[in-house]
Amino acid sequence: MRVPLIAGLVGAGLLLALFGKYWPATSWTVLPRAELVAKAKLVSAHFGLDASDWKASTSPSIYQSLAHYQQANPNDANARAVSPLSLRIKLSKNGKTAEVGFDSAGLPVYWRAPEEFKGQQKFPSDDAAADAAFRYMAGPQAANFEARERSMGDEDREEDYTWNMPAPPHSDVRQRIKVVTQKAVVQTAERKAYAGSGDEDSDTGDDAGYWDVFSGIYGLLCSGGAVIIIGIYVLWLVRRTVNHKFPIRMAGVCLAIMIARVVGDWDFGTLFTAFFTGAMFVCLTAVGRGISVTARPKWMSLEQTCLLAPVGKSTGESLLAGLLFSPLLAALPFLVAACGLFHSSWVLPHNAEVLYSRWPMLDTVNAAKFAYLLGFFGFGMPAFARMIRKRWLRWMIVLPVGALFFADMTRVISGAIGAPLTAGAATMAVLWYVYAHFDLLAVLTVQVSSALLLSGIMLGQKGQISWGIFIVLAVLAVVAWWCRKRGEAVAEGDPLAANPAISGFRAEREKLKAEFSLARRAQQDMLPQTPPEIPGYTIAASCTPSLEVGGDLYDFLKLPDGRIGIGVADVSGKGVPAALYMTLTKGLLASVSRDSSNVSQVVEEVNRHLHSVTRKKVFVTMALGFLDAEKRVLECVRAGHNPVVWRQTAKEATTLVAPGGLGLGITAGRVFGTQLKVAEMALEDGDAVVFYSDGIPEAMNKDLEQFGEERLVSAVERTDRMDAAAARDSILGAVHDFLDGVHQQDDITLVVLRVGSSN
Amino acid sequence: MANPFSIHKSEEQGLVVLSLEGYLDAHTAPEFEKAVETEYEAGRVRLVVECSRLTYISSAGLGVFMSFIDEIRGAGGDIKICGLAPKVFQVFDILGFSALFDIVPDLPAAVQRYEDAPVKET
Repeated sequence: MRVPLIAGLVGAGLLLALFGKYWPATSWTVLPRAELVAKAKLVSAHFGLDASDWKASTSPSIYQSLAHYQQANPNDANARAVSPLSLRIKLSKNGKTAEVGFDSAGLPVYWRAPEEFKGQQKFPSDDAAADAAFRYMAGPQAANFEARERSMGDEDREEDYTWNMPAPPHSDVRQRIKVVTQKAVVQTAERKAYAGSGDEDSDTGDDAGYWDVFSGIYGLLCSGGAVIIIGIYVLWLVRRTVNHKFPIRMAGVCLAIMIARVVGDWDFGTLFTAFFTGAMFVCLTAVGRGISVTARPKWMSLEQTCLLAPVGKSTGESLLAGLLFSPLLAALPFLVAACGLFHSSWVLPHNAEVLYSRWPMLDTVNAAKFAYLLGFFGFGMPAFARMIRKRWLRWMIVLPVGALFFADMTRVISGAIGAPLTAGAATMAVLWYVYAHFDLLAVLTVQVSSALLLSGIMLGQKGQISWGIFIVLAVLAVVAWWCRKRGEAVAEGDPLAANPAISGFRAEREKLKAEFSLARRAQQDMLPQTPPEIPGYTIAASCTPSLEVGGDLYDFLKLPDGRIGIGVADVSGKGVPAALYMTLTKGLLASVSRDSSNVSQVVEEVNRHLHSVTRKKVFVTMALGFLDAEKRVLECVRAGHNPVVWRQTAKEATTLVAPGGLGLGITAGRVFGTQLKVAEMALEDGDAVVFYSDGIPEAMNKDLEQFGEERLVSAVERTDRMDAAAARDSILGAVHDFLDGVHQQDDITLVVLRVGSSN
Repeated sequence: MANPFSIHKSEEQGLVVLSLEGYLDAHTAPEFEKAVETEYEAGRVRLVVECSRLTYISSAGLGVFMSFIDEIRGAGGDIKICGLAPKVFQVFDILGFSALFDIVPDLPAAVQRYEDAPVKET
């Protein structure tokens, strides 16, 4: 923790020294939001609209080229008289909206009446109404404007008026007031300042620059990626590969807020964005953890945090490192602006709008661009590392791409594009350090806490104190401390962790976890990916281990006599030992069935081999059926396994087929052969045969009740007329509903064979 | 979920009776294994496992019965199982244990079985 601590102190020092000098808004006046809302209603009353009981929402904007001009020409008094920061207040009631804008000095700069505003006709003519509006907007500067120009609007009943104020000597700031009237009532009035080469015809508050191109490209990339990932996640949820209650609840809250917005016309925009971002974030994490196998340890503590279970030392350390690094990250753009390489640079944090925010904390977190970071470090870099093996080549490409990528997040404004690129490269270096030494949670923490820090400082500089920001930072610190403490307490009870000889225990453990997920994938890949295509039948299978790896398996065999073998087996015990015997069993079954089409012979042979290696403590149970597709005969044996469910749809009968048989590997004696019986099933159209492992009947819910054979039988009976895949999903769905969130205690395997054409 | 499991040892007419209670699964199987091992090493090989209060048995629990039976029978002893609840019996039966072990209704029946057939013939 020494490096983060030093980084934190250095960063805090830099921030204190540089912030005031390179943040232009230090000289801007920022009035309290509530005061401006009250003033907006006065302005609206002035233009003849009584909006006293209308709802207000605010959106601040910063006119960047003007701000930049001010910073570059500190002696231009004319430029100082106008303000780049403006606040628009939207007044709304019953679907009607009016807008009032203020500059940072609190002077009205914008008025827009609601649609088809008739108002009170106070003036005899359009000209008189426009002149009055002009005087109102221009204030004491009215004399500096040139005579008005008048032009007819597009429709002949609308009148446009323009007043220009040319740039005075030694300045490059022009102003313009525009008024539109209709039937002697002012519809819009706007006062605007233009600096340097600022686009006069641009009606938007923000000028387009390379920033917008940057963020446009990333925004597109990120949102595209995010949509795909959310899609994958939802698919996993539906197919029950993941079982997360938390994100579903979060989505529920999103929906509730959305409904409240639509139905109640409540302004919950910020809250909605916060929850939406959160929900998206959980999806990204779940999918990222699932697909990015090699980088998976880096996702671990983030995932735990997303599931609201942030325990463990690594989580605490990641949070702490993130918090400690945040002043340095926040200070970097200021350092670049101050370094002297780039003339007249300054910093406009992308969350500067927080100055007029209703919920500064939420707005800051919303603007923290999590998706960028997750995309870059969580998905992009690991994928890249797989594609390009040569380290130097990788860095040659990553460095410029990263510098461009992070330039957008730093917002060093300068004439030279080198400034933002340098800041971007520096930001990437710090984030990379944090990622490499900690994990994704640390990267996200450093990002969000540096944004919160900047917001807090910006607000504090204007005499506003945001308790929300302080509380969040304090809570982060407390959680970090608690996790670390708890993690240590856990580690103390662990003889491995307490042993000083085993250093890097955590890294070792995370490596093991990555190994395990590789093992899981290897094991899953070993099972047939697609069932065999048998004309007149459909087959579907599924196998979900309860731990990373499991002892269940299913397989389809091509027998020498042309029949098809369908097998489900279950190794006693769980986890790695079971998984090893599972692979052995699968191999034995495959090799024995190449030479024999006799179902008892195959099973006896597998038993003999298993008994010679399992040292008695491990046994395997198996249900194996050999299907003659044309004669529609299924020969079944049951080696200590659960009975097979045979649904005879036409007869409306369901049988548990349980011929005698011992588990495999228990005894090599004659008794195995004498006990083993073969059941012969004559299948008819519409019949289903269901093989499964004991994970299904023994699935236990939170009331310690087992799913049982009766529920299984009725679940099978409900699938009449479904093809095999639909039947499988329906039966698994029944088990899943029964478990109701309880994690499955045993591996669950299911194979469904349905007689009937595949369409 | 805490799955309590306990073993109670007693003697009945020269036989060692191990009464199992609760959940016999992968977590608790080592305890049972140790108990059987202790008896075997002390030369007490005529065992009765009494299961009337056993509520659940997993494959790991069944594995314990399997792993000692050959040695115990080799030493002239046996494991007789009694008092199985229907659900637990089903687990033994599915695996085919009724063909390998003497499974009887209760303790007196187990004692009687030792007199009739000291070692089950398979």
